[in-house]
Amino acid sequence: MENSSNSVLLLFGIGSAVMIFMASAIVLFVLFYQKRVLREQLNQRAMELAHQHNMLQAQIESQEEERRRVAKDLHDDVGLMLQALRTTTLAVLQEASEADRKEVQQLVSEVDETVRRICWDLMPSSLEYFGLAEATEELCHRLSSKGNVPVVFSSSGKGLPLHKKKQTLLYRMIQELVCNSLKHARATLVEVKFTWTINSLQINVIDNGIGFSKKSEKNQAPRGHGLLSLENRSSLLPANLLFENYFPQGTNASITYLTIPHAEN
Amino acid sequence: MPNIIAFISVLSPLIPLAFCLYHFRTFQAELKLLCLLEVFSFICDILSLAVPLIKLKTNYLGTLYEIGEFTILFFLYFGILKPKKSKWIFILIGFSFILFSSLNFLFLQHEKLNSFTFLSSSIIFIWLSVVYFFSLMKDLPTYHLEQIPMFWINTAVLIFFSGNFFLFLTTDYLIKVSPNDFMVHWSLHNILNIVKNLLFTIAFWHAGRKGFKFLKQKTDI
Repeated sequence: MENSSNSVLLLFGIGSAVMIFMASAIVLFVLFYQKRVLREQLNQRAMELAHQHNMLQAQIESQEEERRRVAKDLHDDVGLMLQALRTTTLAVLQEASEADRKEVQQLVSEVDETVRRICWDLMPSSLEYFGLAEATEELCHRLSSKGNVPVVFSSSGKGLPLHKKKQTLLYRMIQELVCNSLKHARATLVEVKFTWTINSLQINVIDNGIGFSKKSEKNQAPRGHGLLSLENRSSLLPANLLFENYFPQGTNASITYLTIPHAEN
Repeated sequence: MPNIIAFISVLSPLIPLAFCLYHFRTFQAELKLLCLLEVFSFICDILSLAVPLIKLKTNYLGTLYEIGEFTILFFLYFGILKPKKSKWIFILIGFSFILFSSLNFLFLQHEKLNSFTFLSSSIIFIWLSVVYFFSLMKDLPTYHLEQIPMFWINTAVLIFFSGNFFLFLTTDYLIKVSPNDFMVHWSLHNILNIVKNLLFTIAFWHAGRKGFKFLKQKTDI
């Protein structure tokens, strides 16, 4: 009887201990398994995002490279050929009337001007040699002189050195925003403002156009190809892109880019 | 020593109850239900001390408590797990338990501690807590699982009923072979009760601290 009682007590003790141990093990297993699985999922998502980022970067870089190559070919080859054409036509048209010569010369000049403009649109040389602020100023000047809408450029603060790739990305964003204001916002005035601080650059593209609809008031512009391109470029920089309706009317698009001194050279 | 443990066990619901009272307004229905269980537990424990004085059998109160505890916890799990396909199985199990515990009390263990009732509720709650953990592993609601109040409640339920499983299984035999030492063996139940109440306290603390409205958070990744 005594032995039997001891056996039951032993069974009770061991059984209870095992059950408590198993319950604790289940709790710990769930806790650590959950953390491990979520960590793996997060890693996988981060890898996917990094891959997407790299793909986007490669795509935009190859696009810029292609633009640069086409601009160079146009400038070097077509430009030279046009120069040769101008000289040749002058020689050939010596017998022709003054009016005909002028007409042909004007045509050649127009073609030459168009090729230069296309070259500049594809890859502005001022961006390559002088930097973002100068290229933007030139863009504003060109757009003002080409159209009826004044595009005013202003800059405050001391300019910071920026990496060439970042400058190109920012320039393309400004180009897109200004073109949007001119094409879609029906603006009569566009302002491009650069504000430099010790570690950041804020770019505001302000117009007095029709602004965004009610739906897009919550800092969201209407979604389209242009906006997608802006978002892609801002994510690559990375920069903060914000749209807001501008009082009394119009839109204020701001790009805030934090510079990283050691990465900008 | 067993008496001290028993005394601490009786008073242990006061700790989670203090948190309940403090955060009661911010708690969602399920947590309020659990607060009710703590009140019920405390009242039953206090009454159990008075039972010999009013010449009432302990198992009357024990059975009443067990059915009350089962109903509240079962409702809690039913609300949290939200079974769709097995909804009727849940309802069937719930009603079967109430019926079984009533029959057991009336006909089988009327004069004894209702160990069959305790044992069957242990099995049901071990199953429910494992199902809840399984659902957590499937849903992966948050990285910080330890911040979900229901995680601690479920841990308390699993440890309490697992630990008591062998005690309830051998209750009849232990009373039969060594009735005088039964209080010593019952100390395990009291210790587990203290642990359960401490774990409930952690759950209430998290629920109040974070102002959680969810027992199961939506995913945050």
